[in-house]
Amino acid sequence: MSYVLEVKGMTTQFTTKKGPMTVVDRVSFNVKKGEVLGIVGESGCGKSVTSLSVMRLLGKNGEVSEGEVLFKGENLAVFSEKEMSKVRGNGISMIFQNPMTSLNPLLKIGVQIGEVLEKHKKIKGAELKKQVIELLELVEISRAEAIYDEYPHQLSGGMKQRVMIALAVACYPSLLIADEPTTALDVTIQAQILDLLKSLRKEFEMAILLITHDLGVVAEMCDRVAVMYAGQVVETTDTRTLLRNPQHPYTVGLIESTPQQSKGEKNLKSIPGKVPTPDQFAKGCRFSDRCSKVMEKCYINPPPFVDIDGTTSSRCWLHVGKEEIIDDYAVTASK
Amino acid sequence: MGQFIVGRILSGIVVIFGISILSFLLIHFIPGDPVRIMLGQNATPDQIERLTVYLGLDQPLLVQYGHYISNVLQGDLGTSLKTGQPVLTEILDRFPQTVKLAAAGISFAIVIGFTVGTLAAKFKDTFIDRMAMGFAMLGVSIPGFWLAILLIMVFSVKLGWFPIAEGTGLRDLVLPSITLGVLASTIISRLTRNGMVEVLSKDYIRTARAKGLDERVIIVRHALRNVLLPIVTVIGLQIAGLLGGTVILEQVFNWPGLGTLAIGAISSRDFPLIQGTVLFMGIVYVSINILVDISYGMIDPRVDLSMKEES
Amino acid sequence: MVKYGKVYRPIQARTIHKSPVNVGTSVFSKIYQNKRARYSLFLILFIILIGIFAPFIAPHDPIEPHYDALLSGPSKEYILGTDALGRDLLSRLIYGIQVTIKVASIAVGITFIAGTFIGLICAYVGGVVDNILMRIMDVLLALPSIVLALAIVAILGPSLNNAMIAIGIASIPGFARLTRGAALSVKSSGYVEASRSIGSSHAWILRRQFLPNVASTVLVYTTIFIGGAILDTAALSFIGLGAQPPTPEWGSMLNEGRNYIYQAWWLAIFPGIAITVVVFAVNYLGDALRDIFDPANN
Repeated sequence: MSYVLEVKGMTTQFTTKKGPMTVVDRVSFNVKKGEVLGIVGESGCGKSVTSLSVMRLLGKNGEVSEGEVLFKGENLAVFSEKEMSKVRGNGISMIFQNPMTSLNPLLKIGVQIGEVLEKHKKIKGAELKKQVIELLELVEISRAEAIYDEYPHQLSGGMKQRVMIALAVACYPSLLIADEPTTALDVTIQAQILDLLKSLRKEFEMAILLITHDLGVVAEMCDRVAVMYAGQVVETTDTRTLLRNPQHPYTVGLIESTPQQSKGEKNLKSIPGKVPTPDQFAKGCRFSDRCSKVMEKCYINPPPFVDIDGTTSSRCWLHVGKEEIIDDYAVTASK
Repeated sequence: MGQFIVGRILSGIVVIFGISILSFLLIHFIPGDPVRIMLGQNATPDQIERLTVYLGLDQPLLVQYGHYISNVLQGDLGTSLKTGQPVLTEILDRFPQTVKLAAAGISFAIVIGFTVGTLAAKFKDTFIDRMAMGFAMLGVSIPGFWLAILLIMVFSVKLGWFPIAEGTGLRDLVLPSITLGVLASTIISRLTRNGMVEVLSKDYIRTARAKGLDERVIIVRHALRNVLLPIVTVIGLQIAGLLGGTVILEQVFNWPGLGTLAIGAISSRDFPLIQGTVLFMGIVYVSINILVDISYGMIDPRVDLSMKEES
Repeated sequence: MVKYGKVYRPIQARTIHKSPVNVGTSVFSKIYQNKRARYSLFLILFIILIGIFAPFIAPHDPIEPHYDALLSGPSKEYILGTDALGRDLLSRLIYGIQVTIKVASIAVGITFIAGTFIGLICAYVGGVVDNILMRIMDVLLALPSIVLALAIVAILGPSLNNAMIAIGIASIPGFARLTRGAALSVKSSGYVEASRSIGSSHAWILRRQFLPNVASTVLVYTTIFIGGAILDTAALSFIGLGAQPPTPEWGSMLNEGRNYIYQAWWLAIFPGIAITVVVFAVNYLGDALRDIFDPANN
């Protein structure tokens, strides 16, 4: 099976006044061709930074300091800014959480979509306009011709997100990164946008890396899921297993704290405490102070990431001993 | 749009009306007898009497203003006491020179200001940024007339490139417009820098990066126009302010514009000319402000110039 | 959607939205802790001290001519040279500090008192009073301040005192508008409303919350206006409508000096440096103060 994206031990650091701060710590995951991988976690767990690291859009202070980001076998982490700009919007594109602020308020919709094609496909003039209008129709925008000449403020939030999707898929990318694509939208619009993403994925065999905190979206969209906590991947599994038989205590807590109408429970459970910031990461397991099944060794040593049954991997001492170790921080750290 | 423009012009007319009262009252604020001051110590009672009647100062204030405003509306700003020429003729003779100077100065300022400001933002918190902002701070602290003298000393006296002349040709325009430009560029570069720093952190700039656009396109097409918005007002005010700023600089460079006219009028206590200049500058200033407000609409599609309620 | 109209103005009233500031020692220590504010404040104090002790520091009398040393260049006897009447330039510059201090305190004093008064009245009373006063300010703001100052000098006649008064008056409209803006934003801020909602008395809010928070903003504006007032007075003196000879005012010294740029460069250089240094120090302080009091920069 060919992977579109393989992330191996990627570490992202930001330089701050207090020195370097590691926000994403040796994260590994992969996305197959045409697959939807969800990255799930509470806000502040590093999932957005993970997606921006893949795109290398971290800004001045952030950089991928370790590990590899292999896109079709090429390591993006060592690409120059110029090489990277040929990948962005072309091989990999991205849509963001807030469509309201993600479009330039002063440029016409047609221009904002057109410039992607102009840059990567060198299309100009009447042909450019024709293709842009086709793209607008592709993302199911009615009155595409009229919208071409309109400005973002004349569109609703859902429409803007459609425009964002149109410019993201303009060059038929192999991978679309969607960072909380529906969070800022009304519930009814959310479903429409998800449907649109699903149909586009099918049409172009496009892989999607979907960043979300919403397990409903995961259930709806994803083939496989990586759960992140405090800058680390704590569990990877397929969506079915995640929802039915979660392994890592954090994943269990996450699922229990999601409202499920079918069970008719009145009181939601919640995980006590909050996600630690990078300067507060515990020495042992980073979830130890919030974990309901915490053991003594959890406070002392960080647990290794172990493959439990071929589908599910977990970073928890509960699963160590029976299974094959994928990576062991205690070991790698001492090397 | 039309409605907005009409409203803006109407409010401008109200302000101009206010300025007309101000310029009319100027003569009445003079402590003592204005006619005596205008004519000097050696005036005979007969001369004083005649000028008082000529200026209409023997009539009630409201009647005087009525005369004044009706004359102004007919384009009659009075007659210069010194030259005997109509004030409007004198002003219109000089005005094009001031416009020429201000236009050259502001063009220079815009080019310098945008370049320096953008560079400083691009290299935020580096040496380049600090240097640029240091110069901007120096630019607002340096007296314009002194900068003019320095430039004259270097480029006219020392190097002999731009001789000090009485003319108004292109060569004579260089030093005054550079002086004006440098002074006006400081505030533009500072605002450009701060605006650019803010805009570069916006989501839509991240989107532009995610599209794989070249940095140059991102700055010019996506950032600069958004930065432009708040700066347009400042440039508008600068243009208007330059008309005031030229007053002093014209003096240094012997530039025959409104400034030298106004200063000459004050020195010779030529009150009709002073009143006329004040009124005229006010009208120009207000008109520029109206144009600036309208020009928002051309840059920012979100500006609802009709001021209708939006959802 | 934001409603535009006249949203963008060059200087937005910036006011503190943090909890009320204790205007006592904490403000001074805050200023002192800021490196830029501290350095510029020291420089300004240093210059003021030289001005005050001018009679002891200046090597010569600023007005006394030395006919044996007309337009003589910098030398041991006359460190910065002499002018066309043989007066010692350095001494004139040192005495010029006194003139500048006078300009800064009187011109800005007029602006500060009248501007704060009008601004606070407009903000606190509101309604018709606010409307009328602000329309008058609009009219005055429709003229470049230097033109307004020129008009006032035209009325009062050229002299240093009249130039200071003219510049003080000409800056009132701008200052009043800024103060009004600052006061309005404090008035409508969360913590004042919160205070009101828990039943604090009018006087208490005015004294403990309103004034201290407006004060810091007004302090910043005042500092910034000082630089402008010094520049404008120098400009008026430069064109002969301000200080009259033989007053050692820097602007009028430059006016005399520019007639001798071929023979005596020092006359056209040093007074300009003096003005620039003082105004730069004041502006630098103003900038630092704005950073200190503007929470957006924290």
